[in-house]
Amino acid sequence: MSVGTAALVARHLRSRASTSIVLALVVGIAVALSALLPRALVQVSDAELQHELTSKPPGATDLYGVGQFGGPDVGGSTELALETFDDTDAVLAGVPDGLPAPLGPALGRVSWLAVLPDDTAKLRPSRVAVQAEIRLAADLAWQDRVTFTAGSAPVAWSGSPDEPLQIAISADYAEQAGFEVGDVLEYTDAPLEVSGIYTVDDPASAYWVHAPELLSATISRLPSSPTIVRGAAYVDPGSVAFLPLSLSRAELRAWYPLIPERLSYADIPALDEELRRIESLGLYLPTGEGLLFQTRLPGYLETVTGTIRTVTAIAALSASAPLGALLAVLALGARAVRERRRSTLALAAARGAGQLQLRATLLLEGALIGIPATAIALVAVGIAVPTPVDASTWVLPALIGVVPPLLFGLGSLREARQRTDLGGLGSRARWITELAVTGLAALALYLLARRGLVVTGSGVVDPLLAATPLLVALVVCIVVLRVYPLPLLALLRAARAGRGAVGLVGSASSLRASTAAFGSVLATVMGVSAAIFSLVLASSVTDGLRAAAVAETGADIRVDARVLDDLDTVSAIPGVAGVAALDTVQGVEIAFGLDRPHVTVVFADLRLLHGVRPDIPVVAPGSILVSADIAERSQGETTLDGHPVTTAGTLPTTALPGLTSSWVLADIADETAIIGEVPTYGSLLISVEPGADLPTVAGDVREVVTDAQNATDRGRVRVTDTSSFFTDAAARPSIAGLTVALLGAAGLALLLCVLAVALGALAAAGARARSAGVLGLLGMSPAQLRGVLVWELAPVTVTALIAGSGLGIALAVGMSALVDLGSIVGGGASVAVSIPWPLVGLVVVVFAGVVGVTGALTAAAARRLDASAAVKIGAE
Amino acid sequence: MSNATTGTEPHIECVDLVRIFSAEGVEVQALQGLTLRVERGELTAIVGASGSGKSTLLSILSGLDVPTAGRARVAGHDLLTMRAAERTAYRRRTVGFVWQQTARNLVPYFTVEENVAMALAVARFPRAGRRDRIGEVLEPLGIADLAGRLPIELSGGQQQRAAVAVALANEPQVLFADEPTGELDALNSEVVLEALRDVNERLGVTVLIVTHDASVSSHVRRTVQIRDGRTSTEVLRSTRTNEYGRSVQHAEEFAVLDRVGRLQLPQDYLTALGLKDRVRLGLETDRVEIRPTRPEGEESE
Repeated sequence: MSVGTAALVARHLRSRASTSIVLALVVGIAVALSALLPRALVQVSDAELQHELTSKPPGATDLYGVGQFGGPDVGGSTELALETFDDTDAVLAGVPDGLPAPLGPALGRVSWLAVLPDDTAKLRPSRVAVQAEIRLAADLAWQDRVTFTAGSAPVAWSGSPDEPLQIAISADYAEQAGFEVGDVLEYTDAPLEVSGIYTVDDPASAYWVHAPELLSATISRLPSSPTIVRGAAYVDPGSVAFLPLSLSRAELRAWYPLIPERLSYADIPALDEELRRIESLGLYLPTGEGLLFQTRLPGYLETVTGTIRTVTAIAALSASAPLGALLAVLALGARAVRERRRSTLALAAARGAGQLQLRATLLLEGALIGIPATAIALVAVGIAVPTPVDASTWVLPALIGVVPPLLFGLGSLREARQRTDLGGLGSRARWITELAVTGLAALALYLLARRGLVVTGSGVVDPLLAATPLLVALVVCIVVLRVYPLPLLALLRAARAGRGAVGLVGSASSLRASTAAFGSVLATVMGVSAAIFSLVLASSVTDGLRAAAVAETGADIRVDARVLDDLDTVSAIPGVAGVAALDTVQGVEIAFGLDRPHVTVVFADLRLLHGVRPDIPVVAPGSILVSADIAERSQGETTLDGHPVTTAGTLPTTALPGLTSSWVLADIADETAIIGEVPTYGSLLISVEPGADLPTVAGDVREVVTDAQNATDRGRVRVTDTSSFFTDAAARPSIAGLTVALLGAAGLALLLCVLAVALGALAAAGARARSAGVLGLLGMSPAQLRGVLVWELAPVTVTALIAGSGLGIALAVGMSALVDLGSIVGGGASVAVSIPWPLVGLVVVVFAGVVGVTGALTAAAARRLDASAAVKIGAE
Repeated sequence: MSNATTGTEPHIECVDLVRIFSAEGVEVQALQGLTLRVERGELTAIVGASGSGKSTLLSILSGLDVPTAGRARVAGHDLLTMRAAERTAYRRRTVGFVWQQTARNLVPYFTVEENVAMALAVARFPRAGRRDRIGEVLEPLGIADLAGRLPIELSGGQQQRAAVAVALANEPQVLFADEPTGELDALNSEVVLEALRDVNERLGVTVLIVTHDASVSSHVRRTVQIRDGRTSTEVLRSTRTNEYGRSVQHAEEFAVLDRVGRLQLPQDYLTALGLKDRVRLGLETDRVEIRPTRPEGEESE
């Protein structure tokens, strides 16, 4: 056997290594989790961005530019006209290449068309009594998107006044305007001949969002005016050579689809800046005209950023508790290992081992526990989740990794002292430490209050946010350890006067035996507060989602379509309890005396609506209900589109789905009188019978409503139900990620709490066994010994549970006061904190159970030591 | 008396040693001006009841504790002014320790050989010479064949001899033993005390044994009694040849006079003569007389 120093140290480190191995495992898991958290946040952020961008309706995320086509005088040359189109196409197609990353590379192939100003097109004799307005449009690739149902594509016009200019129109426009193939229409520049009628191949394509008049007609019915049918028609691009005047005034629409897969959350600041730059600067075309860009992307990006900041803040706060519990476990574990080394260290010190030698050995042991576990965990996480992350995210795992060497190497060398019977850590040192921790907590709270909870950086866990609850929890622990003896002292005095030995011994032991390790109390406080914080937040988010689902849907099921007239069929669907139809008319003038704002008027059969939405009252004909935001303006004589009405009540602004401000609800009976039109329902609100399966009923409703629509309008049918909305919302990456983080943090904190309490109890097991041995020798029965144990554990545990519950609720309430949970939930409504008291009670009971079971196990361990052995150990 | 016999510097010297412990506002004076002088190569036992301050004295002498006041020197090291580096060197090379409990003497998961090696390693003894050195210390103590055993595999006496071996590893000038026979039966106690005497005689190491066991004194030449944190009496044993030419053990008890002339009278003297509160002192040409104070009438007779 080698007697070299290295071999001896190795032998020393190998002996009694079980606690060290457990500690290394804890470090490894902690490092892995702390390294995973930022990666998970990056993944959630990226997924949320993708979800936000892909969940938008077609075309909503496009970079859309509009300007005048302008262009050179092509002088009646078809070739020159086509060349101009080709040049414009090349210029527009090259735009993304000229834009910096991340915007440029994220843009797809441009789509564009030129739309000439609208003008009247008359068919003589007319087949239907409408006035047709038409816009001519030219697009190089339009034929790829349509299928002709009649006739064929127009050919390029020769420019001859005798020859009509051929056009192609959509089937809907043809039907509404009463046009057929071969019709020749009167038009300003030249007669137009309908050469073909088409249907579009993909009505859901973004193209038709940007060129809706080429998909279908819009019908404008105004009181005492002829009905106007507006639409557009494709011409051959070569034909525009002979329409110079119109072409120079033509509108150029160009749009670039955004490809979300090419973007990550980290790109948002640069992307936002680029978008704002291009929006304000626009783009110059070779024709000398400019293209002005519009995009809704910055709004969407802001939504994502807001959500992710909130999620990150909550994640950081919820990570704090397991972090605290982890530190408690590490400290307790390090103490346990050092305790095991105590005799050897004392011996080595007595034999002349210097501070450096002792510390080096301890440091080496700490490093062997911390460093390999950290390295393995980091490599494993790096391989398992190869998400590129910011360098700063390595700091926390690295810090956790160096905690064991620091705890081992830099702690006091009191283990090396031979005598422990003469004085110890003074009460002054304890006061100083406690004051320092309280001061740090106050400083952290002050900094947080000054800065706010949400940081502006990208998805990185904020150290201040993670540390603050930990510091507050430490202060709570200090208070717990300072406060719980006070009632105990009173109990002790009472017990002295009484005859029961258990109460006397138990309260004295709880007060003086210091079996309540700070680590155990910290772990209990952190564990309970984490679980309750998570529960309260998860419950608030769930309630918020439900509220958002109801606000978005307006009833159990909401249906939107172009025209909904067959209400009876919908009412007959099994499971449907009530149906109310809404007709929404926008831009109606309401007059409150001289104040004349424009509002959206919703007409409905209020009796039916009350059946579906009991919160909306029935009012008499001639009366209206107004949204809360305009209610304060409602004074004096009120007229709606010139008709006198009475304001009968106010409804919350979010009471009706899809309307965010300034609306009026009136009875359907008044619509014809007020607007002068027959009601055309565009929305249905449906309530379902209790017990009916909401998604199934919604599916049936969708089928019935879709069948009743014509081919063009089927794509516009939208059916939403609260349960699907809730399920979809809950599945959003941010919400799903947050739920996992909250539940994970609560579970982890509970696990670490168990570990910390067990470690603390095991550390105290020797002392407990000795006192139990002495008490047993004095004649205490096992039941009385159990009673003493309950006395020892119960006061501090109950205090810690109460303090932990209070801290958890306070953190959740504080969090929701400072962070807009509505940004995660969506729906525009603010989210109120809801405390699920039964679950809170359950958590407290679970934690009490955990401590109780651990205590019982300790008692079992104590019983295994017989009294004589215990007393002998006590003599050492 | 030995502490007044020579003019050269003693190997262990304590003068008016005071050690006060303060804990939670309560002061305990463990040593109250203790004076002790041990010459190089002496084998001395310090005997005292529990709480008399003997363990505190040993803690100070071994450099594990610092006195509150007084003077303490061991082998030329001033224990009051010693810095950390000197203290470490002192523990490594100047002194060795043997304690009562095995747990404080031997690392339980090291074999006897490794325990000696650890002491050598701590003192940075060259690696090449370690095995020879281990043999040198184990052999004379009769435990060379136990070198590969763990402490738990040894008897109490073997454990204490192993502890002596560990203490001697770095050739200390002074060996301190704190209740070395406290957990041993009479036979094993004999063996361990003989081993300590052998070390003293063979290697010339100054040995100081602290014990509450009065029977230890029969194995040493000099026994110092500590009472209430002070040395009270000393017993010196010597072997003399009587008129028949036989060697006989001779024991003589002395009271210890401190620097300012204080001494403690043995308890049995006080009881026998009813000495209490005030006594009469009388200076004769060759002695000092102490007489009890009697009532006035009696005294005049």
